[in-house]
Amino acid sequence: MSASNASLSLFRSLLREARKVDNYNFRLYAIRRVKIGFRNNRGMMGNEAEFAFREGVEQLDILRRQVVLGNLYPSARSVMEAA
Amino acid sequence: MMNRMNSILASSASSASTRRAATSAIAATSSFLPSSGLGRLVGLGVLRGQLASSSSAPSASFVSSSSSAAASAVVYDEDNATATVAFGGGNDKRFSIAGTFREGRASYLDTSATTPMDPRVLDKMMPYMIGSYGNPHSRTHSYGWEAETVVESARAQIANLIGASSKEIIFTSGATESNNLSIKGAAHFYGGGAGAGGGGGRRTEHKCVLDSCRSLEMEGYEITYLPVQPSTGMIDMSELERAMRGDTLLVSIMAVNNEIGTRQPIEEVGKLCRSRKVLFHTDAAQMLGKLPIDVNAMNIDLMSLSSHKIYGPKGVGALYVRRRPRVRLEPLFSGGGQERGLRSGTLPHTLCVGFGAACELASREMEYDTAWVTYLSDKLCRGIEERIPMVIRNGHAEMRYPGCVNYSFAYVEGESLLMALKNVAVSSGSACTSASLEPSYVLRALGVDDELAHGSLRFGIGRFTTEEEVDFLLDLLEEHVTRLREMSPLWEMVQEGIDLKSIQWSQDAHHH
Repeated sequence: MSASNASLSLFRSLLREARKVDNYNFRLYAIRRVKIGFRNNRGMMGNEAEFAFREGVEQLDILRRQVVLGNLYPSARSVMEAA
Repeated sequence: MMNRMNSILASSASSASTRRAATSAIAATSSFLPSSGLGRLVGLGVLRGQLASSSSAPSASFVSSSSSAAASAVVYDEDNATATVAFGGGNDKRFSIAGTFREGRASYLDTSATTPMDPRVLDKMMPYMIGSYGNPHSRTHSYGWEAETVVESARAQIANLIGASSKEIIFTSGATESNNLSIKGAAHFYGGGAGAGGGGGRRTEHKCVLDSCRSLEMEGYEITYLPVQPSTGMIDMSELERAMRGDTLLVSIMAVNNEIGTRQPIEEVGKLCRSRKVLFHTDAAQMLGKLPIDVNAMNIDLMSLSSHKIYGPKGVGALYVRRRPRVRLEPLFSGGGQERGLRSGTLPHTLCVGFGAACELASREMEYDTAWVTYLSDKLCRGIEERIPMVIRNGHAEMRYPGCVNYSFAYVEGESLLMALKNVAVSSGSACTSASLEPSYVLRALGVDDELAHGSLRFGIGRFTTEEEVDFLLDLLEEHVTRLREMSPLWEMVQEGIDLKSIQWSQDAHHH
């Protein structure tokens, strides 16, 4: 129960951070990758699930740092964002 | 709206009759070539295809009906064998592209040239650009030890990706240096100096490989440049076997071509070289991290690797040098003897960490990346072929890396198409040769007509490419290729069914 709540919370945190990424290509990749990552790992149990969860937390930290960095040094707006 | 012909995949065979791929192996046999005892490098060389002179067919005589949509009227005079084009309307704004561009930075579709650094890789590199700045070769303090530790773990990450051991990886400044080091290093070590044996490369090798071979030729080595199969760019195994002699030292083949994406059968080549006791070098810069590599299964002796092609930092690469059986090289740099004596100089541990992180990421993400890139590549290719007539894809149909797509657009001038595609970052021909106006040597080696080679574009799809970008590219391509063709009297003639090769231009008439 709490495990799946924790995963859900992790998923939401990751998506929230992913949406804040400044660069167009990195942002869309992050969103896409988070969704796929959770979809592929659905139904994981036990040790494997724990390991995947820990990896997810690590990725969240990396994502947070890179969001900050990306906002400190913003990329130019992509032509795709103008549409 | 001009009627568009049904999608025709005009293969380059349409003008095959006027083209004959000459197969002249370039063998530098110089007078100072010593006698026996010196090896020979066999390379896949570049065959200079000779464009046979076009046939002198009778001149065509016709007047093209000038429809209101056409920008010009083409009038042909059979008696005088002239063709005149009268352009209609001085200020024809219909073809103007002023103001049609969107605001914003171009969408990046040139991953064969370089790739962005993955934020996860940058994250791993950051500490070493701030507080952990020690020289990895400093033995006496923790700054050095710390740097050395991370370099060694990066080495292991690279080795794992290719199935090698850490001891076999040498860091260099990039794949160009690795190519130089392996080709010149092996030649000088095994060849015994000036006037030694032979080696070779294919015609579609990277410039640095070809130039290294050329410089060896000037020293007296004999290089054989092998032909590639027309339009696919694949090596012919029987040609390679024939070219290998008793004194052959080294064979160098690029694993995945950076312009057309063709993937060579390196397992077969490796097996052949191992059986003949010939060194096998491959430039795997475009293959690393995208397609699986196993140096033992593929019998590779030397392999050049590049970091900035797999979402790592620019300025670092590696060379894989086999240890069992041991491959010896003469180093290019003299100095402190770092990297097993093969590459002196302080290692940029920041970049090495980045390269290692990129490799590890690549091995974790390979499955997902491959699926994504293949999906987008198929969408792009299908889109181009369905929406634009008379296009030719260059390169092998199956044995290819899907992320590198190269198309020739017939009757469209490449530079004008590139200018129209301002909102998309693509390239025509490889970045290394884009400074010159020469058509891509790779495409010429494939036997592609010069005009088609000039009208070719290379698209690169990678990890960060989005589906919207591919859709955007397809829309732009359709719009601008159509527009450029509508401006072209040659296109009009083709639509009428005239064979352009059958026209006798007035210049030729004067020369006869």
